[in-house]
Amino acid sequence: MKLELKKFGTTLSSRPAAREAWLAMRAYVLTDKKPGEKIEVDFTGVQVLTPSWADEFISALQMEYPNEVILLPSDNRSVQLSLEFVNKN
Amino acid sequence: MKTDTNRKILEFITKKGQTTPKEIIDFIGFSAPAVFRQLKKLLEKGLIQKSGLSPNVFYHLPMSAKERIKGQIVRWVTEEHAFDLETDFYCPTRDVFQARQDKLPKNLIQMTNDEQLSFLLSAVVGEIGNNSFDHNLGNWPDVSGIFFKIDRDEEIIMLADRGQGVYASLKKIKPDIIDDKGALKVAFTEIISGRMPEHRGNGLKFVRRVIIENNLKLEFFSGQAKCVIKNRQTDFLESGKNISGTVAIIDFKITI
Repeated sequence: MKLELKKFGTTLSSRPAAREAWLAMRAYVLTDKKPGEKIEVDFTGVQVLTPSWADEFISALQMEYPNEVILLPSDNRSVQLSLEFVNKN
Repeated sequence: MKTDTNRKILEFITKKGQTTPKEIIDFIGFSAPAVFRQLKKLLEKGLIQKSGLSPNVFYHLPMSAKERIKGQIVRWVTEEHAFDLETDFYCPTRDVFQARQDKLPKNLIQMTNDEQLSFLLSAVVGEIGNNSFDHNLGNWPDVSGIFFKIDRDEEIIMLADRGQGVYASLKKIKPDIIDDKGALKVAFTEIISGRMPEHRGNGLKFVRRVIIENNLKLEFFSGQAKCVIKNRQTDFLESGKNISGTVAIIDFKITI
């Protein structure tokens, strides 16, 4: 299944916003996920991503579904750098 | 007598950085017309400058527009009692800040003609501004919320809060930090987290990386210290000021 982050906005910035996005995703979207199915996170259309938003949302997703989350490549520098900060820790 | 008054006024303005006519009148203890006569003479001699429009007029030593703008925001966080900010630049809640931040990428693209840099700068602003709310929520010492302004002419972005400051936030989770300078050094260079397993504490490292990679300039003040990132170098220094909360000044003028 594919999660399109642009549905949460083009500027993904604060921790509370990310937490809200994560809770909504878990309650209404991830319930359709089949066991073992990979989750593709699509950053297309996202202009601004901060390490705080990424940490709150992506880290929660990776923790809940270890080895099942695929972060699709993005040519947006704020996405690349924020993911680098989240993944190296 | 008049020369002595002029000297006192000049010394007072020098000490304060920027000051209002009322403060000068209260300090000198003469009538308002008498003080304004002296101020006029000092202005004519080019020894002081006047900025702002009534009733928000400030007197200060001659300085560039950029220094004056920076001085105003530093004044907001150093005064014992905060003066009211213009509503356009005051974000009392995170929602207001978020709404203004959403418009930032478009505005910055118009100013820089660089889409990727504008997105990165917007992320930097998001990290710094949200940090203020994250670390002071329910615990603002006096004025809640932040100051946030982009100055198109001077190509600077400014954020400020009258919160607890970096040292007070960090010493709770890292007691070996002993002062403001040490706190800033940790904040900008070490990964820490106050609420594991969150990677809280990454924000200012990210900010530093963006500033260095894009050869921009950042001055970040908190308490009696400041972090200056300039020409891809980072320095932690005593600021000579006592800032309650934080002030961030990002200079995004592209230097070729």
